[in-house]
Amino acid sequence: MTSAVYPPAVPMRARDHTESTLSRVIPDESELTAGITIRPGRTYGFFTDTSLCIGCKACEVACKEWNALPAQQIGLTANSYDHTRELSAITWRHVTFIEQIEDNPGCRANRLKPFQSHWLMMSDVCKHCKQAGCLDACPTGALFRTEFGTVVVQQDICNGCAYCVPACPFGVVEINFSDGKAHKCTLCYDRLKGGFEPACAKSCPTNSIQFGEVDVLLTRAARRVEKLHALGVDNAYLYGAPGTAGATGGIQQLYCFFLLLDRPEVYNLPVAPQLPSGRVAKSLGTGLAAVAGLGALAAVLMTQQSKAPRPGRKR
Amino acid sequence: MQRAKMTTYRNEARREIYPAPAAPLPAALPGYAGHGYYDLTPIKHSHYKWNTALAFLSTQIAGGSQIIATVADLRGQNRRMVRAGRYLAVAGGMNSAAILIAALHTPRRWYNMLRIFKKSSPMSIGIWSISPFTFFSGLAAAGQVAADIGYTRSGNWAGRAFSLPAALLGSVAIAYMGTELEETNMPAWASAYPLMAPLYACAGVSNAAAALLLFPMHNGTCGATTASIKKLAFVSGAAELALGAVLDGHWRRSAEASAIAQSRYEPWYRIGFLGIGMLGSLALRLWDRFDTNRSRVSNAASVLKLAGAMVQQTVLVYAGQESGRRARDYFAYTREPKIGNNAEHADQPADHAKKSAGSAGKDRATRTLPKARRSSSRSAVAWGLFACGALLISAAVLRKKESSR
Repeated sequence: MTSAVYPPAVPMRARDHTESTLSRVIPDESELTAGITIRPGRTYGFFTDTSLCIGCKACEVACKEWNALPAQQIGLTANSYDHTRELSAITWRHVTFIEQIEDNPGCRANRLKPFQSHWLMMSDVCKHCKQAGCLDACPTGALFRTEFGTVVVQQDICNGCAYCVPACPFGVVEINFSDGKAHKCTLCYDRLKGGFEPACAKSCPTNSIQFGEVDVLLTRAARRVEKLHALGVDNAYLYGAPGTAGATGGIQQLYCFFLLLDRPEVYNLPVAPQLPSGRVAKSLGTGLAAVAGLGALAAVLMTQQSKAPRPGRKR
Repeated sequence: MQRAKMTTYRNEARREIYPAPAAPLPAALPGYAGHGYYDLTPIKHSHYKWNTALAFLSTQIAGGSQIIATVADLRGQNRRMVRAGRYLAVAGGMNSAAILIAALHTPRRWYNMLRIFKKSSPMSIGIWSISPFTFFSGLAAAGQVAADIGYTRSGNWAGRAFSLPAALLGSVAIAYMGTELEETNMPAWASAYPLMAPLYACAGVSNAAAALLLFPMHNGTCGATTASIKKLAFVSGAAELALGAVLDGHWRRSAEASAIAQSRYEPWYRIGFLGIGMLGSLALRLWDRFDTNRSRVSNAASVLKLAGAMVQQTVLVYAGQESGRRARDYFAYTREPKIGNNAEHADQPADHAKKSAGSAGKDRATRTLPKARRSSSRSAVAWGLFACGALLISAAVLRKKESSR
């Protein structure tokens, strides 16, 4: 055991292993953990299969560990087992706990369905939209599209204008008031560059969060939906895949898409989100047309006044 | 190589904007129950506050003043009015720029907004209109100063040369604010498309005219110009009132804007802005009869107009923020057809079937719409009667004043 003196900010468990037991970083580690080789120029994302989620929150913890994010809040929300409430500037993975107990509504349940089938759980994350509202809205270029197809905020560019916040149709990106910058999931951009699978997907014990190339994931997801339908789960569907709910209003596709078992609103997802930036030209055009009309009116009024001088007019 | 790949990727993405409507949700799913996840909002609300509202008003006055001053200069109107417009433009532009920079969460990096231009970002358009607008307005004002201290010909020439680009940029500056609010996912703002930008444009001209009419230099010395600006203030104010009333009706009948139509902001919007600010100032303008002289009535109309404008900006900013906190408003907004080819959404067939069948499970939003529409019709009739009454009273007062002369 080392006898080095650490600053108080370094937690006890981090002091136990100060050096890696490996002699070097494993090259292309994702081949071992996710079965894919990460290469720039390809598009990567998540397929989150909520039929497999058990609500262990390993993804939340892994995300906070890798990205050094603090705890969201200390306290009980009374929202089932969900005490992080929502995605935020310091919570980039959030597990929703949806209790579907129809018996004795509003009170403690008397009878529960077997096999915990009254639970829906989903690990929510930034969707890394193909057409991203936050990316279109950012006036500084702090938000950019990476070589892996994901959307990332550069905190050294961001000036905290916060216009990306209302532009996101999923409520993902948020300002951190302690540093005055926008923050959101990076899909572990640093790990991808090093050939590592994102921390949340790597930590998922049930493979509910699957990482990979988006096209491969879409094929896999379609097969999974077919399989669930064959098993009698008729309410399984994809959210965010091209042509499905969630990929509407100009968004086209969510690179992090979901297999859901109930209506999107139940998971706090909109059925038909809109990409706001698709209407900028039309909106500004109508405003400019109104200005032009009033400017022309002003010219006419002033011409009339020039032609017909009134008493009291002086030049 | 990497750049080429990214360009190809971007072009491919742009080409496919507005794809076919989404596939329907599985028929096995139940209808929308009227609530989401523990009533938590699925989006994050805007962080605009009163200072943003103040900056918007300042930009409106600045942009509108420059436009009016430039038109007046080109039409050979009174120089005092042109001077007032140019000074007001540069003061308003600098004021709004300072407030907007201070409103950033990291103000020391404000210049990062000037490193790129994005036509997809209304805020980028705004920055790239306000910054050069203030610059050219400053040059035009400098020309005016030169003219005032004796270099009349060169000063007037420089003032006109720089005020032309400033007026064009000012047009964008007063219109972009409506676009900036509209092009977000705050239900109250986004559902106002496409009325918000013209509303801000009309407000820009009418507020600038009201502000210019408060300048003391008009009194008796530039009567014709004063009269024409009063008429401009009346017409642009009437257009603003019409757009504001239409928006009010839309918000009342839609299920997306309960933050405005059913909240503490409603009386402020309807009485403060539409009633006192707009109808009150318009009635006073009629009473004033577009007189060539500055009068107390005209000044009162201008003060009412500017006070109503501040109420309007503040209500719009805070109500939009509030709408971002209401999950039901957002779900209502994202369930209705809005733009492009997305006119039909996934769950509509199921919802329509349920609506026609009159099943007990139909959602709350569709159930409340007819009532909201009835309420909106009553509201429109009430507003119409109120406006007619106000105009009749104004006309009667005018006639009495005329006969007494």
